Amino acid sequence: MFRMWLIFSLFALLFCFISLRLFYWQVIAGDRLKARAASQYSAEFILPASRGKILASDSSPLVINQPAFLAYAEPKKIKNISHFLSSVHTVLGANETDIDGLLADEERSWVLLAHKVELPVVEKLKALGLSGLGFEKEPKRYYPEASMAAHVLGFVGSDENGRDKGYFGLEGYYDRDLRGKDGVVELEKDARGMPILIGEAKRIEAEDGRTLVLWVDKSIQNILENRLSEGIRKYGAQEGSVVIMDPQTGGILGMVSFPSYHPQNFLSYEKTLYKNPIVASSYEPGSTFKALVMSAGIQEKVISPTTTMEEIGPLNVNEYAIRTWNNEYHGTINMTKVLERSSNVGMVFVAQKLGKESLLRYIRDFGFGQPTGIDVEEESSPALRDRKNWTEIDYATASFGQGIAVTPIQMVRAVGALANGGWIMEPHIVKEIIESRGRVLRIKPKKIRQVISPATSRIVTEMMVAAVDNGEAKWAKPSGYRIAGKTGTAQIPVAGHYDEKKTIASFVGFAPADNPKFVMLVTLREPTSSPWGSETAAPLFFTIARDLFRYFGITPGQ
Amino acid sequence: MIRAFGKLCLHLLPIFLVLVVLAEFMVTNYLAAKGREVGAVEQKIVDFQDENERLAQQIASASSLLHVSAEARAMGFIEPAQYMTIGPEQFTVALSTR
Repeated sequence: MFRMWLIFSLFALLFCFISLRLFYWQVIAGDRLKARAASQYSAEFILPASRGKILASDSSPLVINQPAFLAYAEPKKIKNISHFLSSVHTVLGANETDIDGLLADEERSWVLLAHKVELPVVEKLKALGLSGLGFEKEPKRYYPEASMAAHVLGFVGSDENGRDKGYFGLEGYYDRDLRGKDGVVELEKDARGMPILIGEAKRIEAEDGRTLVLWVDKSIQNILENRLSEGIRKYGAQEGSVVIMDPQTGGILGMVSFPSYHPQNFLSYEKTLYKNPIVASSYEPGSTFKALVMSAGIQEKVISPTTTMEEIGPLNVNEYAIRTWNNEYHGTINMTKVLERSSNVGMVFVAQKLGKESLLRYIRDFGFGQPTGIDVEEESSPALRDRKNWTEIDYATASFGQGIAVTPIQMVRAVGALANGGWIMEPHIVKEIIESRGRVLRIKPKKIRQVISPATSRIVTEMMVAAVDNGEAKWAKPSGYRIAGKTGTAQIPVAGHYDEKKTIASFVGFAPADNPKFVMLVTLREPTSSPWGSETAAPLFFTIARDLFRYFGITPGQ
Repeated sequence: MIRAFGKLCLHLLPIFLVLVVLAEFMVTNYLAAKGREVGAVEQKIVDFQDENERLAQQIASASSLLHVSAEARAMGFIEPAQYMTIGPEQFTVALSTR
């Protein structure tokens, strides 16, 4: 009996042991073994998605993809490591000591040699006939127009996982649209790794990134870049920028800032150059702001173009004295003359007529103190001080554009409202987005709000035309054309006070005045030939305007 | 007659079954071996796509403003020093029929 129980116990124990092992193999290790089995008879291939293109308004390419490869070594397949290294080094120019140790490591089966190697270099490496050298597709960006519109486009770098990622500009803002979605193919393979036609197959197609079509006109961009570059040299400026917008749609026709960088070799440049100063850097607008304050006064009907004031000397605001830019005073002058002569005293008169609340309200309504919503990654806006922190002198100086910080895109958008009947538009660089399957998504122009009436905008336009025809910059104006504009010369604040010599010279305007095709802002920082906007930024504006008139086919008197 | 036909079918059924099974083996084998050709065709597609990408890059480069303006300068084209515009009020056509 005892022996029977012993044998029974042994069998029971064996049964339990086998059950436990079966449980382990089928339940605990089941998934792992299933995957291993699947890896023997099935293959998975990633179908990489192509990054979307960026095209100018005429559908010509600004950014496309070019074939490039990731070069790698398989140490176990290399016959002679030193010969391999010296041959690869000759072609790639890589530092041998970086990978020497890695190739000698017996544990490694794969060593990265270089990212994004271009086709001609790959052909040279393949010609070496080295075993253990392999390539994987890794496309990179190509810029047919070199560094044109670099600040608009941004660049493509890597994220923390080594995948392509857009930074700054459009590449940063539209990164998800441009990236696309990789596809995958899973199919059964035979012993030689060939797909089995009648086997199981699953295929998810790659979805290529979307293509962006811009408002940016390549010819206009080219004009801006050439002229700005000449202008910076001619006037001895440290930096400069030009931005052109269609006032009816908010579409950005051109945008350039120097110094700039080349997106292909962005690592060779200072990081401070990556940000687009037109959307991310602020400055005090100076006298260009006067047209906006004037329009507010006219809209509120507290002044008209023929309202007069006595400009007999400096105006005292608390303990401060407000002077004209040239310390000249002309007695009885009307508001049109205030703008023509860019009188700071006249503008304080307008601000006092308007009142503090209204002035502040119009500054906000014109879009200052908040981002414009332009579609680039790095836009920022200087904040407007809280109403309770504004003093008497702040209201006075704001009327002529000092003591208030704006970005160039905010300025051009606000003046655009003077050109289009009073509407603040949302500026946009991208006009259309084309999906990989061909569907076109049009980005409609967006009106934010109406700040002034069409009648007011017509009146202020005439005043700005008079300012161009009779102001300090009239000598540079192209004859026969009606251009509405305003010069600006703002001192640069340094450590709590204004620098005596350094200025930001600017000119903002639109043309043709009666049916504006474009609104443009030119800024030059610290011009050395002359500090005045009328002698630097204004002639540069008119030179560009001449080119644009020719390009648009606008004749004098039209 | 129907019974005779039925008997004939019964006799031929095994042969028919064997033929069908053989045919299935042959077709399956044919299709299974086609995997290599499918792989080759797919590789050709990839090669053509790569070639298209390379050619698109060349076209973009050749038609860029940068390239065209450099070529124009090399050929001796210059920027005009002066422009003259002729508006409708300036343009007069005089035609003599004599």
